[in-house]
Amino acid sequence: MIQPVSSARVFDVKIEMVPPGATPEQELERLEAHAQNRDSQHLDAVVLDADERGLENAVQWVRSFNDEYLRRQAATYPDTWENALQPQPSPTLRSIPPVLVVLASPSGLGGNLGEFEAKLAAGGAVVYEKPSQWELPANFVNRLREELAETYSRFWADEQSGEMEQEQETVRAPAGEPDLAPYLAPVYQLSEENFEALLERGRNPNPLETGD
Amino acid sequence: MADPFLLAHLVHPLFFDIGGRLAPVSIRDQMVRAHTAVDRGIEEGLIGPKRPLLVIGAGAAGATAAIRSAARGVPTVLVEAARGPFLRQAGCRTRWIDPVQYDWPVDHWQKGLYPPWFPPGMPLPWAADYANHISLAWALALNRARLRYPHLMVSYRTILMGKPILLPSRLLQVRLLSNGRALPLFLPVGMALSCVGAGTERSTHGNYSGFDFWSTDPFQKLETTDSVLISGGGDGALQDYLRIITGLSSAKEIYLRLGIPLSIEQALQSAEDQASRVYIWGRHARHDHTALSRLHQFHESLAAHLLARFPYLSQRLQTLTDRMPARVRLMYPCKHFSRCYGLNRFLVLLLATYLMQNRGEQTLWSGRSLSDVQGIVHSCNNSPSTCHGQPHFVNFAHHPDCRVPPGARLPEWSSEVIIVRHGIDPAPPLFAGTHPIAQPRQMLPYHIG
Repeated sequence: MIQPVSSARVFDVKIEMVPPGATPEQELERLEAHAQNRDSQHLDAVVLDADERGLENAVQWVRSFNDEYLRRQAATYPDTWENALQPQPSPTLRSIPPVLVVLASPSGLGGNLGEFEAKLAAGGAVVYEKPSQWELPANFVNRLREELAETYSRFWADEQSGEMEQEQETVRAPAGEPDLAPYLAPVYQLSEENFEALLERGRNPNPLETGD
Repeated sequence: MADPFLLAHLVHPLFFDIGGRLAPVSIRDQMVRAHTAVDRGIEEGLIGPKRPLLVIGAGAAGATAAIRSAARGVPTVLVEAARGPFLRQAGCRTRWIDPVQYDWPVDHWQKGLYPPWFPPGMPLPWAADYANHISLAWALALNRARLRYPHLMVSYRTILMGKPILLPSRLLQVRLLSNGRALPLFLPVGMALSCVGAGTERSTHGNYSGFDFWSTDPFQKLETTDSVLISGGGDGALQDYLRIITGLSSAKEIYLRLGIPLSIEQALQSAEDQASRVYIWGRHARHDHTALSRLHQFHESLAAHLLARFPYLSQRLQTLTDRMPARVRLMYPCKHFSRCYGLNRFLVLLLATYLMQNRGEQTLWSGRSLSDVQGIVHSCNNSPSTCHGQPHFVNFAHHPDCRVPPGARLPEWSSEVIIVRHGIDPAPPLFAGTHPIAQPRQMLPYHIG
């Protein structure tokens, strides 16, 4: 069951800004070096400040970054494919790139509202708005990290419940009868209290006014 | 293979299609469909540690299927034609995504959680947010899964090449084209699952180009003096009507502000259920006509009764519509909306009834469709930002009945904001003959074991 945020473990999301002036190739080199460092935490996302480069240049940067990454990835085929398809593949042959986020301020979008965003997305980036209070990129990164950590805390608590591992084992088990346990969960057993509440809400023309 | 779920989606030996060609689907439905397809594939022995799964399309369904499959120990290959996952949503800052939004009025809807009796471990975060935020959260989840499961291979700018071949070993041989070159590898997979998206939303008409459905648009920040025309009778048009009239992104938020009695929800659910039973066995929109007409009339009459019986509703609707543009028209070709989510249908008809009764504003135009759109002062050049806010003359065609071609032309109108929501051009089939035996035209139940 999904846990409330307050009781969930905080999920650490790692996000960095693309260094000012870095080319797509330089950024890929930096990310590869980061990935090869066994002690470093996985980098979830990198953020490109579109205002710094101008939107046309940002679109080009995003396309070049992703195309260059895909070219490098394709150069490893078919070894990585064959490895991945083994029952117990080696995890060392692949690097997972961070998600590319582009930060653009509404004023920068100007009269082309929506169109640059579509181009940036087609290039392979997620586009975020940079409100004026987030002028400093570091503020944006912190805010984004908090936002994602909250989303993930729910998700991670669910995933860490141990059920996933149990389910993995069922792959090797013969298929049996459908599990009826989910249908017997307490949610189907309406308590007297809940039943009264249901009746009350059904009679009351305006449940919001009763604070229900 | 006797599994009814898999048989319903079978399009080729060992090849199943749960993609956007199915309708209706919601985000929740896509995820559950993908989750179920993988579990059933394992139960049927189609996929397993030595029988890989190929998933085509890295959207909500494809990523769910791929992560679920990898989590259960199946070597999995996820391919996507674009440069990354979830890119349809990645550039949109204004549209709201909530996987359970349209499960209304089922109990879990208000809590914003998936039914608690569903097995845990849904692979993507089950959160509601703006589309670009959701895109990022999902992309991070997919990347984390790639780190966790080394047997999950993801390849972007990669497409299926040709028709898969069934091998004597009961494996499916597929060939992929990646980044412009054919992989020198024929993949033998136990099962292939197409999760290719719905296709392209029709947002243009003739020379006129409106904002795409998944683009950042200014519809919630229109001026009170604007004149707005929305063309279309499906969920896209209805969503935009709600956003423009109220300035709010989420139908759920609008509904919760109204305080509709629970007994009304139950009556609406019953009416929607009766209509959905008709959809299941019909094959085309024209077969839905009678059911949709009755459903539309029922919602309309209920809205009128509600407004007459509960004065507080009118007060709340007044607050919600305080800042709406001067003229808003939603036009659709029949006497009823298309097949759409019950919540959208109900809210639009309630708002329209309120505006008609209290302000004399006729915001719904039934039985007409766009004929010509012509820019005044400027020339339309297939750019939404050029046309948005500029005056246009609009000509209409009259539809006496949605089952017959349009008839006479109606008098022209003028508008500065025109929104075209004319459905979806379906994605082309992956290869010839990609049609399931029977497409189930219904949402999945919340849990199918």
